[in-house]
Amino acid sequence: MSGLPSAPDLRALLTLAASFDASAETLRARASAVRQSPHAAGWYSSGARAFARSAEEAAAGLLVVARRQEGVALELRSLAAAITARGGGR
Amino acid sequence: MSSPISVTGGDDGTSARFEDMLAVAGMLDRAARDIEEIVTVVRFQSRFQLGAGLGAADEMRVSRLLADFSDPQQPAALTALRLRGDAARLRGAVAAYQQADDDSASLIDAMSGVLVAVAVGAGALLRGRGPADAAQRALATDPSVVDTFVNYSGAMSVVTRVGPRYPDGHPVVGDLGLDRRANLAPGDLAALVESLAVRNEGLAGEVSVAFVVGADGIRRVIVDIPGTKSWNPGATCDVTSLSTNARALVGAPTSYERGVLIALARAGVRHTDPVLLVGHSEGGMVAVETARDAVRRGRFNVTHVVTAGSPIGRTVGSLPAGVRVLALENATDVVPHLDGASNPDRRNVTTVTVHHGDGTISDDHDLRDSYEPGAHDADLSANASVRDFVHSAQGFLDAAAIRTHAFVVTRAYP
Repeated sequence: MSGLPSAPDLRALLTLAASFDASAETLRARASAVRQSPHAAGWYSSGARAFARSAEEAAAGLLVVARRQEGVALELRSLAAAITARGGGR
Repeated sequence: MSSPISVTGGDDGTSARFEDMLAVAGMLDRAARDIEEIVTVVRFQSRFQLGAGLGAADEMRVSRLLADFSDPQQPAALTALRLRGDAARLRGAVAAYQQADDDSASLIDAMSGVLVAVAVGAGALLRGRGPADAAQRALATDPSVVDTFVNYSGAMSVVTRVGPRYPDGHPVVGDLGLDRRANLAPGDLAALVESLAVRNEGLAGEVSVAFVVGADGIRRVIVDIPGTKSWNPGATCDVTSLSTNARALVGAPTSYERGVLIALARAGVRHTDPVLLVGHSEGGMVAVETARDAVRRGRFNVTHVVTAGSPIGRTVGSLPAGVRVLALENATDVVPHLDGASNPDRRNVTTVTVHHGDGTISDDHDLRDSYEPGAHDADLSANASVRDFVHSAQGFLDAAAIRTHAFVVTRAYP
């Protein structure tokens, strides 16, 4: 069906965008906590130090996901705005 | 001149690092869960064809955007999976380290200590020393021989069964009034031990409750609890006798402990006043059980315990994490080994091994000859666990004045 989108469709897009933003904020906080967690360099064995490096990579991975979420949220909002501008979602 | 010390436990101990590692594992799991939640939301939306009413081009655009989160092969799901794996590996590493620590306390280690001690004792006999002297030197060479004996002779299981049944009567607390001789507020660990040594020279069962006001204006309480003065194994009014040892060794309540709690109440200690308990030998065991019961029942706010030469390995682990313990143990003192258990490596339990004494059982256990200089060594140490303990106890150690109330605890039988 290619008629004009309904208001609930646009609301769903905006709700999902908000979910992505909230989740991204949480992930950024998690990444920061992992990075600042007690240090790795002093931990007990070479195995644990290796893990500390991988914790650093995990924090970086979290930031990648967070950034992607923020990007998707932005695009969803922009799409909703464009649809509204075309006269949809009324 | 100070002697080197060695330290286990405390804020810089292995267990604290394990706690840190487990905390990071928890963080990674929570982060994975956050990603999994958003993936679930996106899959749910996709199932109900979010964007289906938007028109073909817009629908395609939404679908492309969400693919990063709905596809299990895309970064979001893969990151969550990896975080779960990292958390599991970290927990596995902690478990492996803990197992290795347990294994290091093996029978082989224990038996090597026995062999060295026997060799030293035999050498002393060959050099013409008497059997008593040879035995003392053997024990001082490696007091862990006592741990081995306690653990492999069945002695501990006998104490565990019999100790709590020892007749202990009920406490009778006499008020000795203000002790104006004890008028110097302690400034460091050595001063705490010195004050305990002064109390130790008093009556059997004499304890003190001292009030200090720290630089922060908060009133605090320091309690001195001396050790054994009577070796009478029977029913005696001396609360420091062997029955208290037998009970306290396995954590059973004692009249001595209840007497200390009564003394605290009579001296006017409020349930909010931070309290530091300082005990020597049996007094240290009593301090640990007093702290445990006072905090559990909410009667007193015991925040710190300092023990000197006390076998608390089987009981100190029962203390709440909010009670911080510094256990001074002289390397050649056999008494801390009488329970056959090392102090657990906990964030709130710092064990400081010092090296003083002349190789005889009494001197190596003595407050003035061994533990006061040992405490001084700890004061000078830069060890992170020791510094952390001292820093946390600063309010007890920076007061300008002190008011000391002395009591005597005895025991009566119905």
